[in-house]
Amino acid sequence: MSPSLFLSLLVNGVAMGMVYALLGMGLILLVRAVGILNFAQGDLMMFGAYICACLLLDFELPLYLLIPIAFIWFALLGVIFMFTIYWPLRKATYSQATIIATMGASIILQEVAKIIWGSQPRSMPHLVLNSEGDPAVLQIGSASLQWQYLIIIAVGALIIFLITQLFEKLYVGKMMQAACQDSYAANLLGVPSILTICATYIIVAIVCGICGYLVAPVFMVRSTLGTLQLRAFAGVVIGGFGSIKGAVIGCLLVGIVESFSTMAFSGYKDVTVFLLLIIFLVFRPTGLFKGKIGDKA
Amino acid sequence: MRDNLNTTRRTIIKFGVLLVAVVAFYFLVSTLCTSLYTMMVVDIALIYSLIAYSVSVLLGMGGELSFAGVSFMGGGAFLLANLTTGRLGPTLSPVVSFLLIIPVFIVIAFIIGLILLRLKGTFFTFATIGLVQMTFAIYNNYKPLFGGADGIAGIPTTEIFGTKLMNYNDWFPVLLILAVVVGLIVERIRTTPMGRSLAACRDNETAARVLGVNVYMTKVLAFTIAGVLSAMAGGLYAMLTKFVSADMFTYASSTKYIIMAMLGGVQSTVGAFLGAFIVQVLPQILSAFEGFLQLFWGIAIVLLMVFMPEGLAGIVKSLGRKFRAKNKKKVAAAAAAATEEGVK
Amino acid sequence: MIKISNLHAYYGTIEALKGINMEIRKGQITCLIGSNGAGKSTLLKSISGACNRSGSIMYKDNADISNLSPQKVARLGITHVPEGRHVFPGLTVKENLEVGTINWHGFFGRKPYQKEMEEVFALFPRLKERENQLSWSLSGGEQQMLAIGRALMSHPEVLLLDEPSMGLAPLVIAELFEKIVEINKEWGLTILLVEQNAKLAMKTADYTYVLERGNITVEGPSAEVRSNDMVIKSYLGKFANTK
Repeated sequence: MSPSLFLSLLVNGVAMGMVYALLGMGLILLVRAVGILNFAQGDLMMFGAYICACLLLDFELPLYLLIPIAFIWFALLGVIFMFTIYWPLRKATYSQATIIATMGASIILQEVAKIIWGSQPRSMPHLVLNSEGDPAVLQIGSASLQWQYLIIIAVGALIIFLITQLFEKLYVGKMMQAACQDSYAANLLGVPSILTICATYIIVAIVCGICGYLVAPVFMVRSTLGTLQLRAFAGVVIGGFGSIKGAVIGCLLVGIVESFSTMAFSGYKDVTVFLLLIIFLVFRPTGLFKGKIGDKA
Repeated sequence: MRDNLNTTRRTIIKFGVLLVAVVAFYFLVSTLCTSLYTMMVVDIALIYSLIAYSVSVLLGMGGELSFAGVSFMGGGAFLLANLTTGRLGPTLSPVVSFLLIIPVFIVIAFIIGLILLRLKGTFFTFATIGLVQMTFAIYNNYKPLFGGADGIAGIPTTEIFGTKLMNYNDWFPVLLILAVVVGLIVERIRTTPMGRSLAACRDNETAARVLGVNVYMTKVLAFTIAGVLSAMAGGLYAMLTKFVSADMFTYASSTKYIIMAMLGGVQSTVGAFLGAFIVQVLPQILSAFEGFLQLFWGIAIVLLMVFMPEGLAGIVKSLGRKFRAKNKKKVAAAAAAATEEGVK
Repeated sequence: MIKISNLHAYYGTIEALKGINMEIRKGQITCLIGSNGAGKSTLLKSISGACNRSGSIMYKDNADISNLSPQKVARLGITHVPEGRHVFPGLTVKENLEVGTINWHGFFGRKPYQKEMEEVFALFPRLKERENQLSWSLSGGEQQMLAIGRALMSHPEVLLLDEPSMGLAPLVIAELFEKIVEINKEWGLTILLVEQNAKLAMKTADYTYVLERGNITVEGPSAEVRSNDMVIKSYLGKFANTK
């Protein structure tokens, strides 16, 4: 394999891995907040992408307006999602019931997107374009790396850094962790649990929305964009569920493996990724990194 | 002595009720289904009920959420397609191929179960999702065995004991009997030692282990049963529609089957049967709302989980409980009144 | 300090407390004993606002707390340490203590809590040793100390302790209860102690209430209640007061 091909595949893989990591990070935050897996995570991203497409293409907003307005819409999405899906089920006895409810939410999000914006995929321009209006490319030797991928990697890394700082260093983050880990005790101490859980959902929705905006130019905005979440799930599981760090590393791994196996057997790249997942789990049933909490799974 | 008589009497009554219900159902459906299309919907619902049973076994009895049903369904369907169209060499009749599905998938499902059930809870669920994605990719891409995107067509008409099952109407009684018989077997499993061990594993794994239950093997067995049921459903589907292709066995379909079982009540076999029917037939009735159908489906799923996680069977059970509680109160009140009278 | 009149508490349709009258006096350790299911935890939850209740609960003779949410009750200076410890497993000892300050520190506040933390560490030196350890890995006794220490970080005037001895070894319990007495005598906190270990509770407390199936059956200074025949029979055993 030529070094330039290797570099291309690597960059592609890391970029996609970042996308999965952003989704996966949100997944972990929600697992900690409500203890269930959000099977609508990818669809939150998809909806966010549609919102951005709408603001960019239909309203033709410049970037400095698009970002704050989009954030507001993402936050709204997060709040609605929390109160319709999480809130009624917070005391559910059947843990599978909550998982299936999020599957229902996934369908609802896809259908609503179709109803509002139609079922035709929309194409979003790359963030950086060259003089001819084509996606800009960085040339390293004979490798052509799309700037979009590099931006995804940079922005993704920044967001992951900020979120980890928030949750693990700042006072507010510790309150949110506390509310997530034991909302009963947190309530008794005076932590406004509903508020913090709501805040967690808002943050997750914003991260998903940004992720959607980043990935839209690559995949086109369509209602099935959410299926990317399955790779994020794989990454989170491989990473061990316990920490954001594990989820990020697991997802990057998945992204890279997927990229290189597309080269090797394009149609079967799913097989490689998920076979890796299964083999991995068989030999390390609790994932790469042990969770913070003894045997949480 | 008395007890034995009572239980035998109750079983006879139960069977009688079942027989009457089945016959009534048969006549009801026959009269209501005026076209081949409606008959097809019913036939497919009966086939789906087998998959709903499989969910009932693995999730309801065993407490494990698995998406692997579609993988096995595809496996059974493609196996039958290959055998009946002679792609693998020998050509076998549909009935023989169908019967072959059972032993073949007992082995396959067992092996896969051995691997996957080393994982706990959500990890297991994820692994099944991974399995579905893998099998779909293979079904969709490997032309020699699975025909790629075009699928496999030309499965011959099924012939049982000399009668050819030419159309959906012919298939109906066969499928109905099959669905009922398999349902009875599944229900029976609930009361066997294995079924009880399974329930113990579901409710409290540690306690079950301490009592000597081999949790791992019990769950693997449940997984095998579920896999075989799904494979059988796949084979029947191929026999019915005479065509198989990979896009019938996607991750999206697997949610449908789980909902079927949960709608009816994941711990009830009858519930699984009813759930399969409702999920299949309802879209037909509501076909006027074409565009919004999927949206309703999504909303219905959420509402179902919020208000009725135990499904229809759960509602029936709680109504029964309330009824019996009212009865008890009435009897107690009557007894109290009677004693008062007696004392007076 | 806290006057309770005609308190009824419900779990759904089940009435757990059937009209309780109690008084928790300032500066005292009041204990509530009773068998399982008597409603002891429910009483604490009624005060802290964590369950459905009706009736009158007056705090410091001028604040009616019978309808407040747990957060508001905590802000008034009544902190509830729930049964089963409930430490935040994924946070370190130090972080657990930090969360205890939410009441007066505010979400984005900058008020220092060094002093409070040092006082808690002085009271529970074992916690200081483990200050950066994740709390899920602490022993039961250490977790209980952490839970109480965390409550102390919130500037409480009243401490509601729910079965602190549950699941702990006798030596640990003895040490813990010495600290509880210290919190009352040196720190000046009013304490309401709920315990299944009746003997220990009555030894520690100044005033005792006995709760049976939602009703207070006996009350009085601990020494009196301890020699009450019915109490001896039900909770202390025939030989309780003999050597």
